[in-house]
Amino acid sequence: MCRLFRRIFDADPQGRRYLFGRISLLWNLTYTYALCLAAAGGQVSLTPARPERKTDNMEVQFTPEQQAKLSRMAAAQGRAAETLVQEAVERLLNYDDWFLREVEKGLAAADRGEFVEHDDIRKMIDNRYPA
Amino acid sequence: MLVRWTKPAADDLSHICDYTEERFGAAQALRVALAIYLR
Repeated sequence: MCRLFRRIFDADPQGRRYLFGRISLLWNLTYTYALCLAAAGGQVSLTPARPERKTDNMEVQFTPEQQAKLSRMAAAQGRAAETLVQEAVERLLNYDDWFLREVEKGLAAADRGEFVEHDDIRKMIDNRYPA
Repeated sequence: MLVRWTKPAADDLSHICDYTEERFGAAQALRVALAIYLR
């Protein structure tokens, strides 16, 4: 585990930010839960601090394997499985938007006649990485 | 079959090379570049 942390800290600034984010989230949740417990004399359940704006529920079916993996990941990160799914969908939608924008850029370049010959790409590779 | 690349696609390949080279070294970057080129 220490080796893993050291690898993250040494080699991956994004991983470091992610790790600090998770630790910070975990600390905030623990602290909030402790305050709630103290205020309610131990009889409290965790609920969102403020209601989120939501549309009608959408039901999504998972295979048992997907569900098990999701549950394990949620437990490991100390987060709700639903939150992870929402995050995954958000990433998918953002990626799709980005991909379509990039395709549009390519089509626009093609319309303007901005091409690079296949052989020139090979030359670029050979120049970058001479044998 | 004539293959031509759009300018953004050529730029993308160059960025992929930069990224791969920075993280995994020149040999891996060459492998990735050729894999994309030959596809």
